[in-house]
Amino acid sequence: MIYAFRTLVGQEKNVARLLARNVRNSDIDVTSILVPDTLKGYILVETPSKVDMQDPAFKVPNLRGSVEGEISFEEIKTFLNPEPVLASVKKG
Amino acid sequence: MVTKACTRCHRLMEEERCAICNIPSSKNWSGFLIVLDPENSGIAQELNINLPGEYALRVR
Ligand SMILES: [Zn+2]
Repeated sequence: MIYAFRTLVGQEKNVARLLARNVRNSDIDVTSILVPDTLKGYILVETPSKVDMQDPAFKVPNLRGSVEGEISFEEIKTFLNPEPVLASVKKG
Repeated sequence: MVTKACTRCHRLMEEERCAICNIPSSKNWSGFLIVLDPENSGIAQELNINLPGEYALRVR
């Protein structure tokens, strides 16, 4: 399951690192945290099962709660293989 | 400290060379992924990542 969490814009990586540290020190089951450059103000949290968003592990500065609903793995795939910036510019 | 990424395995590091691949790392990278549990992560499997750690999504 993949959930989106809102963060302060510009703090996505820091929030992801702090959340990862909390996860390692807790029982909460998070398998990865994704921060696509194209998604400002959000991080994507992958879990094998439903997680309790109220768990203290999610208490991280600049982490501003989860977005309602899950994100499909198909949607995530578009972030995993980002188009190279230069390759998308047509040669003229 | 400049964080760099391995051009082959995409692992993030401060070092000039990737300790696993033994090739130079690049400071030209984007996207960020923390893998905590590679065996149970669909994202890690999609990217053929089998070690926990921090990774770039794209490296040039
Ligand atoms: Zn490497």
